[in-house]
Amino acid sequence: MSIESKLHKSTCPFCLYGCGLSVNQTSRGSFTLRKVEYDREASVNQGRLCARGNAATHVLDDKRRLTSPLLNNKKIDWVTAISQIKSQLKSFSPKEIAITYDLNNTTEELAAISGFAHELKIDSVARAYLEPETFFSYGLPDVKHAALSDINEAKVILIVGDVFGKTPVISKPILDAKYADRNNRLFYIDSVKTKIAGFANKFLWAKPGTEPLLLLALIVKAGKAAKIVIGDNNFNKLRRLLPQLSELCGVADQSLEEVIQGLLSIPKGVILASMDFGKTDDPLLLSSLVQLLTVVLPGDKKFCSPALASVPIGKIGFGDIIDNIHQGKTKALINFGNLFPFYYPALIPTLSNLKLFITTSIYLNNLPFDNMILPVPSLLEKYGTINTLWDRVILKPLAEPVSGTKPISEIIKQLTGDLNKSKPTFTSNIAIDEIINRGVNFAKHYKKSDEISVLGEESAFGHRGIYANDSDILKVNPLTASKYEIKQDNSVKLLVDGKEKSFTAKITTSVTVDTITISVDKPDNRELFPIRIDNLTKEIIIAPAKGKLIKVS
Amino acid sequence: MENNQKRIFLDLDYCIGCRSCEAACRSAFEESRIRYGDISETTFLPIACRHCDEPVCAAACPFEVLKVTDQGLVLQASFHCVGCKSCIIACPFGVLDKSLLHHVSQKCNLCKDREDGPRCVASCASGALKLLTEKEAKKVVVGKRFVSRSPFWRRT
Repeated sequence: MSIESKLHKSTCPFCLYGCGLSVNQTSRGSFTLRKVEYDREASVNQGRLCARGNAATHVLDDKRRLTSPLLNNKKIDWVTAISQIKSQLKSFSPKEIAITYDLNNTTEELAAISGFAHELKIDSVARAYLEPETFFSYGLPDVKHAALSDINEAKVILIVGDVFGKTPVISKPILDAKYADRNNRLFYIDSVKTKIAGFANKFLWAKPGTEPLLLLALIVKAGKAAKIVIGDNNFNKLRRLLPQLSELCGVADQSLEEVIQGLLSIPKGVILASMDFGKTDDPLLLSSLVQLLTVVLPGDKKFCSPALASVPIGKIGFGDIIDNIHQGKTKALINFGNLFPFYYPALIPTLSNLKLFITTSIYLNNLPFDNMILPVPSLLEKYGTINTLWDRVILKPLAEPVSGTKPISEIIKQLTGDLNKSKPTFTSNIAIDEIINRGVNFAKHYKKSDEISVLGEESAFGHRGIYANDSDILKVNPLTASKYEIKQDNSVKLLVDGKEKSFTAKITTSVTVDTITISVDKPDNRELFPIRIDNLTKEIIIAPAKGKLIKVS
Repeated sequence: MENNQKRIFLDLDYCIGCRSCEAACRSAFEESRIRYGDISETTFLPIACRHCDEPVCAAACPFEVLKVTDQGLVLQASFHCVGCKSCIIACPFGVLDKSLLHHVSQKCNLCKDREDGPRCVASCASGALKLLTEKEAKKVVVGKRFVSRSPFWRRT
C-alpha cells in the first residue's frame, strides 16, 4: 500500500483577514493524517496563522461532526428529510415562514438562499449572525476603507476594541508600522486592559460600555474639522455635553487631548475597530462613531474592521423575526448556517414557540424542542467565493466533505427543483444626524450602576474551546475581589437576572473596579447576557450584563 | 552551539500573547511542546526548548532516551521513554510540560519532519518568534524597545 501526500491550498475562512491556509494530507489506504501547513508565499499572511487557522484540521477531523439528518435528535435519511420538509412547508403560507443565514456560506450559496426565498415568495429573510460586529455593515457613505498597504504605511493608528485578540495576524503590519519610525503613534481605546495596551503609546481605559462617549468626546475635540462634517447644530449639541462625556467614561481630559492631537497632527493613519460578544452596550453607535471619527479627522485617514461585511444584511432584521415569533406571525423558520441557534442559548425559549424549525449544522447538537437538523460541509470543505477585508477570494476545499453532508445549494435544488440566484447586499448607510442624536441620547440616559458589569471576552486561542477551555474563569479586579473577600482560584457564583453560574476567580488588574470578564468563546456563558432589539436596524444587541458576585464558602 | 545551528529566538517587541505557537504545536503533536507564560498583564513569554549544548534533561534521563545529535539537537526516542518525568524536573527553563501524553514526556524536536523549520515560528501571528543562528541573532534587534527604553515595561 503506497503513501500519498497532497498539499491543499486555500484561504482561511474563520475571519475576514483572508490568510492563506494549507493542509497537508497524507493517506495510506483508508487512514488519513492531516496537518496544517504554513505557506510563506501567501500574500496576506506569509504563512502566519492564529490559533483558529491552526485549528482547521480539528474542524475537519472532529468526531462531533454531524453525518446524517436529525429529526428531533433521531437519525433519519436524506430522502425522508427532504420529502418531510417539502410536505411540511406546504402547510404554511409564505408569510408564516422565515429564512435566516449566517457566515458559513459562500457568496454563491447566499445568492442561492436569496433565490430560494424569492421562489417561495418569502419576505422574512434575515441574517442570524448575531455577533456585535455585524453592525459594521451599517456605515457612513464617505468612509474610506483601508487596504493592507495603508496599515503598513500608517503613521498613526487608533485601535478601538480588542483587535489583536480576535485577529492576531493583523498585529504584524500594525507593529511594523509603529516601529518604522519613533514618531509614529499607536493609540488604543477599550474597557478592558487587553494585550494591546502594552504596545500602545496611549491607552484610554474607558469604563465598561462608555466607549461611544469617549469617541464623541474625541469628535468634539477635533474642533473645526468636526464642525464641517457634522454641521454647526450637531457640533454645538456635542460641545455642551463635553465636560460630562470625559467624566462619564472616566478618562482624563489630558489623555483625550494627547490622543486627538496625535490624530490631528499626523496625516496618514488608520482607525481599526472590533467588538466582542457582550462587551458593548450599543454596537451600532460604536461602529458608526468610529467611522464618523475617520471621516472627521483631516489628512488621509482610513477605516478598517476585521469583521466588516462578513454577512450580508437581510431584508429584515433578526429582531423582527423574534417579534413575529412572539406575535405568532412567524410559525416556521429555516436557518442556513451553523452558529445559530446553538451559540445563542438565550434565544431557545423564543424558538420553542415555532411549529417548524429546520437548521443546517456542522456539529452534532441537541435542541430541546421540535426540530430538524441537516448536516452540511464546513467552509473548509467548500468551493466558492468569499469576501475578505481586502479582496474577494476563491475558497478551495481543503478536504473531501464529511460523508453524509450535503451542500446548501444542493439541499435548495432538491427542495425547489431549481437553483435561482439573486444578489445580496452587504452594506447599508446611516445618516450623520441620526448617529449624533443617538450619541446624545446615549450620553443623557447613561446611568452609573452599583451592580457589577459582566463583560464577554473572546480570543482566537479560546475559539470554540479547541485549545483552551477557560469558560469557568472569571477575571476580577483586586479591589472588587477584596470587597467580596474573594481570593485567587476561589469558587464564586455569578447571579445575572435570575440565572446562576459557578466560576473560578482569577484576580487581575486588567479589568477595572466593579467589572468582571468571562469567556464567551463557547456557548456555555453566553446565556448570561441580555438580548435587546435595536430599534433602528432591528438587529440583535447583546449587551454587557449586570450581576452579583457571591463567594462560595 | 555552533555558528550554523539555528535556534528559536523571541522578539519581545512583537509578542502579543496570542498563543499561535502553542496552537501550531498542539495541532501537529496533540500536546504543546512550547510553553507560554505571562510576565505581566501586557508582557508574554513563549518558552521554546533551547536545545542546550550540555542538556540537563538528557543527563537526567535514566534510559538515555534523550540524546544530542550531530547537528546539536536534543532529540527524544519516544519509544523508549518510560514517563519517569526526570527530564521534566531537570529542565532549568521549565520547558518540558508536567503532563505526559501517552505516558511519554513531550520534547521539542524543532519540527525536524518539516523542511521549512519549526511550526511555531512559521505560525507566529506577529512574527515574534524567529529561527536564527547565533550570529544572526546578534545582528537582529530583539526586544530592544522593550528592555532598554522604558523603565515601566512598555514598548515606546
